[in-house]
Amino acid sequence: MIKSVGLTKIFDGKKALDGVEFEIPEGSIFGLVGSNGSGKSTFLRLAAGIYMPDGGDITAGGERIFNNFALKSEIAYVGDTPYFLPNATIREMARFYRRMYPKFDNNLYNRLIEIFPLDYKARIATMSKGMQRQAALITAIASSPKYLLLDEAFDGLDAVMRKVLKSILIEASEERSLTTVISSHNLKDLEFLCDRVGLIHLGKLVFSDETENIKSRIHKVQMAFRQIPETSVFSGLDVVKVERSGSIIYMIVRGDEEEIMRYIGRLSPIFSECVEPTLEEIFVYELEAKGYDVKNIIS
Amino acid sequence: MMSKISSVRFHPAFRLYRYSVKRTMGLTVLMTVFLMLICPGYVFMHINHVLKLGSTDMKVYDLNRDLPTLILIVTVITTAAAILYLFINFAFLYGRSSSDFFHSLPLNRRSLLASRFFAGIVPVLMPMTLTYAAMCGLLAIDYISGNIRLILWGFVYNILILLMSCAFSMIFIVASGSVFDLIISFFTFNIGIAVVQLINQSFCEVYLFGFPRGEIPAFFTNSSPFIYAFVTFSELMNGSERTPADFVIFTARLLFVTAASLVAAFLLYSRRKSEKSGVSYAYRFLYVVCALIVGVIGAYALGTIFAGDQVTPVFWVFAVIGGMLAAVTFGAVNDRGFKSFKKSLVIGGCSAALIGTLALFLWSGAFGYSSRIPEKESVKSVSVAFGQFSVEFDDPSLVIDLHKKITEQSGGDGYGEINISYKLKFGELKRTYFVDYNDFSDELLKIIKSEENIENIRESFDAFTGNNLSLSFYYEDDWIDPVPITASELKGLKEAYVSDIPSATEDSVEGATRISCDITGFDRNYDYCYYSVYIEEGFTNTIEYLESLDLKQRAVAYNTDTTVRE
Repeated sequence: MIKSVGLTKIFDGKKALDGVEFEIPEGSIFGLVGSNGSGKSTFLRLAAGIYMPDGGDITAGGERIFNNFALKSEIAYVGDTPYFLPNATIREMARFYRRMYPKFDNNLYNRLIEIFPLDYKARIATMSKGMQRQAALITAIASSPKYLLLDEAFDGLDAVMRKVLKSILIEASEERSLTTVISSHNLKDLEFLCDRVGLIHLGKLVFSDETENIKSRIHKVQMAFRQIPETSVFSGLDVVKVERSGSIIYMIVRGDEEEIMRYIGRLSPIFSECVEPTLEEIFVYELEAKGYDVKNIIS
Repeated sequence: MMSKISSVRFHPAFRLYRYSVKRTMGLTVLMTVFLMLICPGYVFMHINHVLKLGSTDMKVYDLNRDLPTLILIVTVITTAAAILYLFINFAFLYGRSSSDFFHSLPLNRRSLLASRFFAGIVPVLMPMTLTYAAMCGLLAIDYISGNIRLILWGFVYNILILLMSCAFSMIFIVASGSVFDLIISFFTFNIGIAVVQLINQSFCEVYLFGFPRGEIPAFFTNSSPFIYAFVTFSELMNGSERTPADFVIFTARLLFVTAASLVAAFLLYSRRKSEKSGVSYAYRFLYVVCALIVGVIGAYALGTIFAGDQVTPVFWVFAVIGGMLAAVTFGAVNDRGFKSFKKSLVIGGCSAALIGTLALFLWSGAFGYSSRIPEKESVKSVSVAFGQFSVEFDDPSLVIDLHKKITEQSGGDGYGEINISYKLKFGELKRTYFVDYNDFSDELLKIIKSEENIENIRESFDAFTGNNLSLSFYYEDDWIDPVPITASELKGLKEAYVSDIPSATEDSVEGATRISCDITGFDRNYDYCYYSVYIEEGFTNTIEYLESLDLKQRAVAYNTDTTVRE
């Protein structure tokens, strides 16, 4: 488990992270979302042992990460701008990782180079941004880490490669109990991948929970009535947002789906249905409810 | 998915070290070729060339006379190469993505620092060892002679100096935030600190009464570890008066600076924030120190350009302006703009204030430096030099009396230079004063008439062997060309001159003498030597003796008749 307690990081007097508390269970895929400059990358660098915390602590498996040589051999990090050794090819990078990481998996590496269509003899520096990211992912995943930290992992990848990466991460999570922390400012990337999602804004954790929990506690209901009722009739529901379009009412409601639908059924609508909102919609509603300026948080 | 785990043995720090060494292998090969071209290549060619051109009886080449220079050159090259390797190996600190990459590797800071540090040093040792082996190999050639111990000592000190230089450079590497600022700070500090010490010396000469002249002050040699290492190494390799204690002190200091620098570099690196990659300085102190150095140089330079004389108010006005200008310029270069304009102004002002404080401190006597006269009991010997006289005393009484009077009168103004050098039981004490000799004529005359001076004069005469003696003299605006004289004539001149010394007057002190003679010849080591004799009006014995030699006629005859010359 990766756990942060009161994690604080200060750059030039400004708090990039301010008392962030996270718990990321073993074997989970954790999505870290937030706008640019929210503190996602800083959190990942702290989790990779690159930065030393200015306050609080961050641990993996109960051990402090910074300067922990043994623990860091189980952590692989791919930054938002992956670095490659000068003039290195993918094979050379793999050789380097093989030497540095004790659990480097040659079979997994061979499998990955079959999956990702890259020229393994070409200098990585001459490759496109997306290809460079694929190269970084191959070596990081092949080093068989216990914790994989990916900063803007989908940035530059095409739709097919995004799907491939997701399936690889899910498989690794299931088979090797790989704990993945993946940051993105695009919630769509994390929609059907992450077990848990956390939202950071201005260095502070807004909330963090299991994706299923988040999805199950908020619902998007659409219904039609012969005669539009007063809004007061919905007072028995925890309504987040109501919109009307002709005789159709769209409503975002918190609570149990069955109870909500039973309540609405008692109002005799012509039809009513509960639609699962997207993760992005849920975040928008939740944040709006908490008084955040949503447009500035999720792009 | 069942996977086969890599079976490679796991030593990440060592693996990284090997990778780093391999990465600079090309450079190492180039350096090996370059060093091999110098030695044995160039040295071997040079020896054969000299032997071919030399006189026919020159059958053996003495490599000892070239070894100190050769060893110094190899030391400079290998040290510069090792520092360059370190710059390459630690360049990852200065890029955001490279810093993230290396700091995310399964290494702690200590092992990361150690692996990259040794990867900078070890590749240099190979070509270095080969070069020293080649020097030893040259000695195996039957027509080349030399001291193998000198080569081995050179090898040991080369390693020590290389280690010390690299360790000290690590402080700059770790404290900098970008390659540009590393280079700027490294050269600003190491060259700038030497310039600051030259400025310091200049201030001492102007403001510090009694500051000794004519030699490199110790604070210059000790200003930077690089200057200390190379200047002392050069002195030890070339010097004839080196003692085992000198080597021990040098070795101890090198080891101490190496250890202290490595500890400082490690402590700085273990606390260095990775996020500082790409900024000017990871630690601000380096910027402040360098800006102060630049400010001091700027203050002195502008003050000197516009005022010349350091004791005028104009100098100090321009010193303040110069200090601020230099510090602001340095700040602008480092910040790539004028973000820290105010701070730079303050630092520049501090630089000017620093040299102002230094001037005041020196002017006030530097905690009794100017007035310090050693106790008679603590003096082993003392030498005093003024005008044409240079005398050494075991009993320092006469010199201490003179010294006391000079300090009591604060020297006064004058152009007469008096150098006093005490050898104390513990250390030494040197002073130089510029005085009007008339103010101290009694004390100076006592020194001139002293037994020690007379003995000194005798020794100077006796230094000549009887061969190829000649004498020229300046007599009442008339220059007499060199005339060959015999050993007995020289002896006669000595006795006459020595007998006249007790009747010396202020004329001798002031150098207002009627006749001056230059005696030239060879000493017992067949080295050319000369001695000047100053003869005042009252030195009747000497004047009569010179007249009896009929030197004028002999000079005319010698310089016109070639047969006489033959």
